[in-house]
Amino acid sequence: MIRPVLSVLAAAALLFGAPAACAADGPSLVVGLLLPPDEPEAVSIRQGTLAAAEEANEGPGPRVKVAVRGRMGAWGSDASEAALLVMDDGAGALIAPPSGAASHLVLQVSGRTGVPVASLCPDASVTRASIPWMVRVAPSTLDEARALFEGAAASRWLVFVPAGRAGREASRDLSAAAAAAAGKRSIERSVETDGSVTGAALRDLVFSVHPDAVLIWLDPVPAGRLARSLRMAGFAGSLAGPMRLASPAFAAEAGSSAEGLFVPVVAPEGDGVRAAFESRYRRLFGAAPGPAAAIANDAAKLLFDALKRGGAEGARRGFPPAERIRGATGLLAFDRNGNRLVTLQVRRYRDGHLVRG
Amino acid sequence: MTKKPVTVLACAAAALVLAGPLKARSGRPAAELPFPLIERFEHFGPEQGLPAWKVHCVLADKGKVWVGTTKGLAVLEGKTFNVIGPGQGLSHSVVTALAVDPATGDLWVGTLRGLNRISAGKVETFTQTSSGLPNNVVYSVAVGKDAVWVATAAGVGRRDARTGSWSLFDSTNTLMHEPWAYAVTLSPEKLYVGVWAGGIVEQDLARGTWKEYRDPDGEMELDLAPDDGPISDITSWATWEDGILWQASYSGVARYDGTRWKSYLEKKSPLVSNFVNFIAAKGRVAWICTDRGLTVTDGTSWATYKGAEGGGGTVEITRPGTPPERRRTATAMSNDFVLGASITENEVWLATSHGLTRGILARRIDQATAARKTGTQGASR
Repeated sequence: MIRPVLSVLAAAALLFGAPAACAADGPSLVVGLLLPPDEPEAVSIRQGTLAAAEEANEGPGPRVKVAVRGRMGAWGSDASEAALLVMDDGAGALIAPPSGAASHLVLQVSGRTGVPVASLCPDASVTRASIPWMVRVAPSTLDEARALFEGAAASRWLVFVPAGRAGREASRDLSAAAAAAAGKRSIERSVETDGSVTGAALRDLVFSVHPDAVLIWLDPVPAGRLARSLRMAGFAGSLAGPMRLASPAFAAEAGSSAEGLFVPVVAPEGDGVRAAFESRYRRLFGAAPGPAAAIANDAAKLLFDALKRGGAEGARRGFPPAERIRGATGLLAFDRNGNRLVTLQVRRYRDGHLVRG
Repeated sequence: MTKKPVTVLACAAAALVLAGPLKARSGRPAAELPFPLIERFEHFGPEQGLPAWKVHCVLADKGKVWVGTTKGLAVLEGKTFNVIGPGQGLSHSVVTALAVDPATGDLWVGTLRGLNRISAGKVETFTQTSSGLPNNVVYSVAVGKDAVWVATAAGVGRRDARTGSWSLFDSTNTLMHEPWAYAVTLSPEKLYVGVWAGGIVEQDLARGTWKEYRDPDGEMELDLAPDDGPISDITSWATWEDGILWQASYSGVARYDGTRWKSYLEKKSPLVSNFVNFIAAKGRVAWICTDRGLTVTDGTSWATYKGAEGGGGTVEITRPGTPPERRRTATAMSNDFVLGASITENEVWLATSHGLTRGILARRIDQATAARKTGTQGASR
């Protein structure tokens, strides 16, 4: 009983307890990061953000720091923590996490307080809130899925999504992407799962739907588990998944079942920004950054830049910036609704590595 | 409580300076507006005793003006601000919502960490751990004849006035599409809940039944089927008054008379901005608080107040069938980002992101009508 408690406390300390990049003296500009404790990419997101703070503090202008919060304990609430980032920690801008529900809680605080937001959430519903000072830095589910539907030569798709609200939103966006994709693509069935469906149940499902391809729209670990189960159940068609499966966690969990799986990635710019970020990240944290860290780094970079230019009040008026900023995931440009304008390429796993399809 | 004397900054001079066309372009006399214009603005900030520049909400009631700021609740009585903050028992310094109980005079104060009741000078606190409040983040409060209703980040709470017991309403036991309640308002028969990403849900208070109103097209900027329902599923505020339900969103405003919906967007009406945070209603007139100014309308005639470059401001008036008139004003609101409003017979109080503003209302005869009587004329824009 004691060990799980200690594990939770250790994880909490890693996420929230360690000091963020703080200014040595004088008031700092603060970016708040909401990280629910069940966010699978929490460590990568936090570290990507801290790397951006270090970079910002090497440049001219006011010092910056990051405040990180997430619900704690049985009575904790992400809504309260999002509000407290602004009100108690003095955050002049917020990063909303990949979770759609938590992202909307951040947007609610932004609506009442006017602080700019950079969201890491791919759900279409996030930019539908129409908050003028909010952008989505992550590619949308619509963009990712459309790239996959057009990149993988398959017409009949079986889709696995998470249970609950996240699955409902993903299913809606995936259906819209299938309808918008070039060529005839149809989602034959959308199944909610935590990735644990196996054996006869999975064989029956595949047999009844008879898909050309399976889209695994889950987090890396449950997606890896399901990929293994699908291959063990005899499914020989194409597998595909979202950009977050371009991660060591997925590759390790899926093992050889990752072979051939399609994922979308942001087309590289070749401008050196990505390489500089990777170098900084390795120096700070001793590991290579995944896609979540790179996107979080870009979100923080945008917000630090806006705060440095205009302070908290000016940041709202000048956000999103008119000029395009170069980030670790390419040029940071947005449409008028705050959606990232991004070119995605489809890659495949070969021998544990991602290669051009 | 701390006390500070008030010194009003604003000019005392009469302020609606002139210059607008005082007659319609057609040469016909302009119609009288169905609402009074604001004659001049006065400003209040920390120098006058407010605890902070940022003001989230304001409520004028029986000679007092309650002001919710980021650093506590201030009350203006006569010329003095008294401040109630965490030191006086308030659950958090950031005040987000205010409502008064007309039967008892109690003031209900929503904050970002709990709900408070101020009764006979005593502060009583309700949090999610000490009461049945659904969540500590309180966005809106409404007082009915037998209960207080609270919109929170995790549903609607109802506190029974007689027993003090709480009920929770969210997406598991109502038609709410999402659990996030962002606004509550009451008519004599119904409760309306502004749901973040869920439009509006209505409860028949006598029967307890629920009905849902959603944006049928689900689009942000495009209103593909105009006047077909709520303007957006993101409801940022809702206000019921005199048979009209006004829905605020970040995509415009909708008006519902119980039968028909009517939508107003920035590009298709004189609404100054689609980003609407609050609507105060008096009679059938809505005072619409946006990030770029204040728009007043009954759905047919409009007036929009904004600051102007170089000081002062403008008011743009639109009457049915006539081109808009723009007039310069000598004074303006403290800031164009307006977060709340409270209307009395003679004045309008405005919460802005940089100070509290008092707008002095002209008599119920607008300048165009006055000009018609005196025979003066101005130039058109």
